[in-house]
Amino acid sequence: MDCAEFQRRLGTDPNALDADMRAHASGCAHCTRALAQAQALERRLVDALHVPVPADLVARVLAASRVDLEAVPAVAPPARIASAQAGVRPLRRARRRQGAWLALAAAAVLVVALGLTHWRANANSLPALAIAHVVAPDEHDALGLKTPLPRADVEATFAARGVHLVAAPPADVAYVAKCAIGGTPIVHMVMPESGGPVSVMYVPGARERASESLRRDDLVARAVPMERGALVMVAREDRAFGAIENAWRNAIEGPQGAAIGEQ
Amino acid sequence: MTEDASQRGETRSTGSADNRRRQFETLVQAHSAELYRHAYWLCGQDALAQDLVQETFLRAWRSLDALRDAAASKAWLATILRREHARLYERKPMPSTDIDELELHDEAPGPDGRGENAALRAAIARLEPKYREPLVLQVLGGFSCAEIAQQLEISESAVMTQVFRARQKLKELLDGDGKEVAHGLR
Repeated sequence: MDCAEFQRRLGTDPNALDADMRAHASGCAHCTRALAQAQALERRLVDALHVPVPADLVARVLAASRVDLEAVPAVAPPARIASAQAGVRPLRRARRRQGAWLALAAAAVLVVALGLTHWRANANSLPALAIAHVVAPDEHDALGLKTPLPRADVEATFAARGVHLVAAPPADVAYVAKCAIGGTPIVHMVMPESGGPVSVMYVPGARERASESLRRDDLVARAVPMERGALVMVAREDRAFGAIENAWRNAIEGPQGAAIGEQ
Repeated sequence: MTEDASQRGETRSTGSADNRRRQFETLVQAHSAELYRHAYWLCGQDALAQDLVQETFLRAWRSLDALRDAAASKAWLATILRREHARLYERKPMPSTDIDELELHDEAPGPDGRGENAALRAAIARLEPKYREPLVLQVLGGFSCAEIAQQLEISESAVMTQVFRARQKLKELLDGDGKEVAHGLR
């Protein structure tokens, strides 16, 4: 092995030293230094890549998953169909019966497939994702906040998501943060209403065709389409949803549905 | 079916569901941290990384029966995570504001640039994804070049070249002017 080959393999994986590499390093001061430097960098690299993991990650994943898990039945192992039929049936009758079974099986598969498709669409819908986000343990504290935030904080958070509010946002926003649901960046807010706190999420770029509601875990969620996104509201009751939707439509789209200043 | 047989069947079914749930929770316990770090180096955002981990596990739950070999669970989850991340870009391009605000600033709170690793983390973030991802899989995930090649669906020699160049570029970034190490994932 020459120095070039040693360096190439060292750069590919400094931890995978075979006998040839060790033998070469033992007789080459230059490559011995290179080995020490590479291994030092590797140790730093390991440290640097190990970013701290949020302490409640496992609890959060399990809690947020629970909504979804309860909606998904455990997949039962395929049932074995007993095929032992005593005696010999006439061919036509057997074929007719086989056809009937096939038709029945096809219908069952169709029903299951349609059900799964519906469930998957439902599980990934904005209301479902919003509820999963709200019930995460680290979101609980936000629901207890009542002091209104400065308007500038709300505007700045929207701006960070590429949305410029064209009118004043509702004054009673007690919590605002850049979050993500289903991998999509959102603005997450909490508005303390008389009937309890309402979590409000604006999802820039979301393409909702129509309003969609979901009731789950004693919560009701409603997603409403907006010009360039969607607004999702989650609360124990939906009494305030209409007023909140109007207020945010006014702030984001303007009183007359004016052009939005989204970037 | 007799009542006894029916009850036995129900018990087996419940037991199977419990086992499945336990298997899932074990996976979450064992792999959440590593998946989070992987996700973090894919997207550069704490909240998004957490959501990617959650989505990954949801998909894992739905396909748990496809996981025949528990020893393969790490690679299996990493593949799901990569697909989930790719799906983000399929749905819509990431807004440029998100790229700019990636949480890799030296002074920023969160799991990133604080401490003596800040410069190296910033340098890793500056690597092009084609170099960063195989490096993360190798160093963080402990995958061999052959395994990485399988996950990324490229040749093993391409992986070897990319991790080699990744290390070369890191050295150049660390040895060069500090201003070169700007913020944000590339």
